Parts: sequence; structure tokens; C-alpha cells
Amino acid sequence: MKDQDFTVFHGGVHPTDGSDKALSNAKPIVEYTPKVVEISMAQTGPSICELLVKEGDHVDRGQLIGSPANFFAVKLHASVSGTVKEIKKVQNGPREVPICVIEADETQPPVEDLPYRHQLADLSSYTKEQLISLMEEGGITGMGGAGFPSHVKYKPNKPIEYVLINAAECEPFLTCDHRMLLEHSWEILNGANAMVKAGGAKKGYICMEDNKQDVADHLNKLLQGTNAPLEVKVLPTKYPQGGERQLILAVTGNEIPAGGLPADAACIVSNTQSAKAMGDIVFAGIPSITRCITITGKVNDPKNFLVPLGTPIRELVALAGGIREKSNKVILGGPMTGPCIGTDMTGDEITQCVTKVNGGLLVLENDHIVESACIRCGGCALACPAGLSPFKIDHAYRAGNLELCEKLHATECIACGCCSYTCPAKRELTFYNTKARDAVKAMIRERGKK
Amino acid sequence: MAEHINPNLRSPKTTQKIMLDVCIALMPALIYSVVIFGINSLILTAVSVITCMAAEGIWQTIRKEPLTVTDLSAAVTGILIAFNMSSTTPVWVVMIADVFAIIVVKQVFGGIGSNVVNPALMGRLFTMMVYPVQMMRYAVPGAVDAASSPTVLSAIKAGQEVSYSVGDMILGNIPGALGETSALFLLVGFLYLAYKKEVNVLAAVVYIAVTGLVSGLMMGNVAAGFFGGGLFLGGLFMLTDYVFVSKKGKLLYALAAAVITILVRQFSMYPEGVCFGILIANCTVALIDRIDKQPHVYGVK
Repeated sequence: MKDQDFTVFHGGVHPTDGSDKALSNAKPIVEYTPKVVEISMAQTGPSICELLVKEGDHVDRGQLIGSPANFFAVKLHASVSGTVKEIKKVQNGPREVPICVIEADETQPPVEDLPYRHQLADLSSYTKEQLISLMEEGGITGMGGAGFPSHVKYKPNKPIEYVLINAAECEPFLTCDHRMLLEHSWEILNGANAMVKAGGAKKGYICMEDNKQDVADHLNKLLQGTNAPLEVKVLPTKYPQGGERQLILAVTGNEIPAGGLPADAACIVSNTQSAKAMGDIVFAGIPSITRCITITGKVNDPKNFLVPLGTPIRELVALAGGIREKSNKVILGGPMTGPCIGTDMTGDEITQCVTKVNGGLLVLENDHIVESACIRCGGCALACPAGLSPFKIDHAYRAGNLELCEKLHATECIACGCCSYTCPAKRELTFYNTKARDAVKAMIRERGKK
Repeated sequence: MAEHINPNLRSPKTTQKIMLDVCIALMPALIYSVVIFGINSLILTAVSVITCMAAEGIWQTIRKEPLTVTDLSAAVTGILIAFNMSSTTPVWVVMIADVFAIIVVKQVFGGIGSNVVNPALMGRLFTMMVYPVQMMRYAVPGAVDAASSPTVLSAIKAGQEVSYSVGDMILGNIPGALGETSALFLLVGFLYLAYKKEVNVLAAVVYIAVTGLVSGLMMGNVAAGFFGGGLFLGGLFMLTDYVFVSKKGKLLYALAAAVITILVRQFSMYPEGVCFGILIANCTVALIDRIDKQPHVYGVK
């Protein structure tokens, strides 16, 4: 008998004390519609959509404006009703990415208040296949950061037992999922319910860290007396609890085999806001055109915003009272995995607009990290949730020894950042371990070709 | 390299803070040493710290390497070298050990983290070989003049009676190097480091338990085996320099040190073997490293 109903994963870190989330987790979601939205045809790094409208076109909210041009992309819809004012071209690495600039009409069509926002909705009229095709039509994608297309995820070649709704929100500072779970509970629960059916699973778990006990209590109350195959799972607060691999281990006690996918552990993992988007498309016919984002850190009034895709983040920063620290670094997403988009910025200098995968914008005090010699304390190995020895891989990679990196299982690095976080010598372990991982994977692919 | 690399949060722990904690952890033993051996303990320790830091700074300045003196690892080496010397040791002998430890043992091998063996112990061993007369005279606790006496372990080796109670041995009221005699106060410092999760507890416990018990039984005085020499100073503060990731690695390393220490104590001309045990165990690191695998990599059977 296990005395607890979850498995604790190896390693992990506690980067903050909870004061970070306290900045914004009690702030109700503010709904905001900007005058102009800028929707990028590349919602995530590798994805790209073909633009279907041209300058001067009038578009309705929810109208298809981008069709997937590669495997990583999902359908993209107009997030406001308005006129296409301009097609901007932005250089993103080797590619030129079109950005559809839409000027919103003065009055937006109202959003109908449907029963699925207040109670468990009936799914019996939908088949699994219908639900998956709705997923594709609605442009549902992973909204936790990686942005993997949901309709692909829900067509695995292995039987699925569990759908895990990832509400861990283990990244410090971010609270958008927390607020959504409290304020849009039924949309998420109905979406989750539909995802369980779409995956052909027997059960769905809404998984969160125990710093969201209020959410767990609330959802348990809503689910009481219903026949929904959903259960709330409260897990210890430990980064990266919301890592896909760690979450599956925590809930099922099983690991995804090396090189495998969640389906190999009979699971599909979907983000909280993906579940919300699923609820919207299935029960209201609204595609994925909004998301909640947390603007937090060194801003005057940290807040959570529910906004149309393409909302300029600088406007949200202004609504959050502006940046209050001159010497700053601005991070798109959470502090552990989100990229730094600039230092010593003013709010107006932020050019990014909200995409489906943006969970937050975080302003931290600027710092200057200088690497020093490894003191062989072993702290990184204790912290690594993949069970690696990051200092050894780092050393082997810098010495150019990829064979040793392979022996040290560099391929299993999940780039969570725990090693660099914990290193007293401030070595860039995550940076070099992910480089080693990619190099070893490339080497293995080369070997396969021969 | 770009200025800001993920993750954008870093723990407040630094090498300097860890080294400072080690210095703090060594303070109870130093204070007690001043109580029993007099102010000379403090003077030698201070001189040793300054010499080590200066040696590192000067070396790095000449070599145009980045200065690492502020990481305080040289200060830790300085304290440990002094702790391994009798309070009656001439200052210049301590300084020679310091310079040898920092330049030859640490910096020549690449500085912090790259040294093969523990610099403090190697520095001490060097002076023990070159100046055996000055090094092997141990002060007597509470003595007014610079009287010297055999340590508990050398008395046993010479077949003499041990006149110290177990309580005196644990507390440190016995002849010996200025920082090694008080098992109790060394343990207090170690517990502080253990609380801060900055030490390898398993290796220390195994090394001290095995060495103390086996060598104590072999010499017919278990208390002396544990508390008569430098076992606590070595086991708690000098063995655990290098951390293995697997339990097996930690155990093998601790056992290697224990076996050498026991053999030296029992069969060599030296009464104490901690220094040799740890230094030789240091040399087995590369070997043990080959079998020291992460206990479990996620998803790998």
C-alpha cells in the first residue's frame, strides 16, 4: 500500500517561497480587448501557417485566417472582428513570418452565455472522432509552452488509459492557470471531459500542485455528484512537477521509456488552457482565440489578463502599472524556461504579442551571472529530475567527448533548468546539457543513416 | 555567449557562501583550541589563512589568471592546514605548508575543483616529511610552557598507558594537532553543514565508523580509535571534498580511505593514518568514478 496517491519524482528544486505567486494569484482575471491585434503566423518557434486573408479584408471573430503549413502548426482564427490593416513581415531566424494586423471593430459581437459555463455538459452526442476533428478545427494546441498540436496528440497508435490535465503551473510567478481554474472552472472541466472521450481514456486527472488547494477544493465541490470521469489530483509543490514526464510519473507511478512519448505510458497530457479551449470549441463553437496571461514580477500592479490572441503585451504591461525597475530583465513565460527578451527595457519597448503559448510576461531584476569552476559538490545530480549527472555531461561536452555524453544519457535531458538553478559555481549547465543532448541525438541519427 | 541564459532564476547559493559556511563550521573547534592550547592556535590559523590567500592571489596575478581568492576556498585550506599542526609549530613551517598546498597541489593542477588530492593534507604531509622534528611535537592541553607529549595514538603504539578519560578525548583535552582533538566541537560544525545540506554525510559516517571501530579494536582501545587522533577532522572536513552521485561510489570511497587508515595505524611506523588514508582515497577517485553511475536515469531500464 502506498501511503500517498502520488509518486515523488527524483530531484527537482524549490526556486521560490510562494511570495512570487502571491503577487498575482488573488487577482481576478481582467478581460481586455485591444484596438489592434497582431497575430503571428508562427505561434510557436517551429510552426508556420499560411495566411488566408489580405490587407483590407474584413474578418469576423473566429474566422479562419491561417491554415497549417507544417506538422507543428494548427489552424489559426481571427481573435477579433475587424479589418485587416496590414500584413507585417518579421524575420524569425531563417524564415520570414507574416503577421496579420487586425483593427478591431468598435463593437464586438457579444459572447453568448451558454450552459457549459455553469454545469457539466452532455457529451453523448459526440463520437471520439468528432471530438478530435473539432480539436483540429478549433486550432487546439498545447498552451503550456511547447505548443504541440492536440489533434495529433489525441491520435496515438497506443491505447490510452489516462488524460492528464496539466494544471501544475510549476513555473514560479505564473498564476494564469490558477485563476482560470477558479473563474472558468466549468469550461475547463467540460473541455477536460471531452478530452478524456477524445483520447478514449477511462479517466481524466486534473493535476495541480498543493499551492492551489483552493482550486482543488473548488473543483471537487463542482464535480461532486456528477458522473464525469474526472478526478482532482493534488501533488507536492516542486519544480518541475508540471514537466510532462514528471507529471506522468507522479500520477501513474510509471515512467515514459527513454525516447518514448506519453502514449507509451498510456497517457496524454494537455494543458489547463488547452482544456478550456477544447470546452469552447466543442460546446460553443468558439475556436482557440483567447488566452489568459500573467503580467508579473517587477511591475507596479501584477495582474492576470484574458485577452484575444495577438494582443500587444506592452498594453498589458501598461495596464499592470508599468515596469518599476529600471535595471531589469524581461522574460516571456516563466523564469525557469521562458526566454529573456531584453534587459533594462521600458514597457513600450516590448514588441511581442500574445500567442497561444504565452503564459506570462515576467520582469525580474537584472543580474550578471559569471561562471566559475565546478567544485564537484554534486548538487546538480541531486536536483536533476531526469536522474542525470549534469556536471559530468557539461564537462564531457566542453571537452568535445560526445561518446561520453551519450553514455551519460545526455539524450534524456528535459532542459528544465534545475541544474543551473542549483549550481553554486553558476555554471551554465542547462545550456551545455541541452547542447549535448541535441548533439548526441544528431550523432545517433547520423549513425542510423550509415 | 548570450548574456541571459535559461533558467532566469538562480539559487542564492554560491561557492563563496559554501566556503564561508565551512569556515564557520570550523570555528567551534578553533575557539576550543584557543581555550586548551592558548592564543597560538589563533595566531597560527590566522597566519595560515592569510598565507594561503596571498599565495593564491600572487600566483594568479603572475599567471594573469582570473582571481578566485574571494571564493574563500584558500581560506578553508588555510584553516585546515593550521588545524593539522601542533600549536607549537613554528610559524614558518606552517607557511611553507600553505604555499606548497596552494601552489603545487591546487593551482598547478588547475585551481579549485581541479586538484587531485586535498591540498591541506598534502601540504601537511609535505612539511611532515621535510620537518619531522618540528611537526611531531604535540602540545599538551593547558600546559603553561611549550611542553610536548605523545598523542594518544602514539602512546598506544609505544605500548604506554593512556591516562586520558573518554570524556577528555571526546571534548579534546588531549595532546594533538591544534584543531583535531575536539571531536565534539568538530561534530557541532559538521552538523551545521549537514543542516545546510553542504556535506556528504554518508561517506563521513562510514569512514569514521569503520576506521574508529576496526582500528580501535585492533589497538585494544575503541575510544582512542575514534577520538585519539585526527579521525573526526579528516572524516568530517577533508574526506568529503569530492561527492559521488551513487551510494555505491560514496561507500567505496569511504571504505578505501578507511582501509588505508586502519593499515597505516596498525602496521606502519606512524601512529596516525588519516592523512594517508584520505590522500590515497583521493587518488582512487578517477577509478571509482568509472563505476559511479546515477542510480536511475528517468525512462532508462
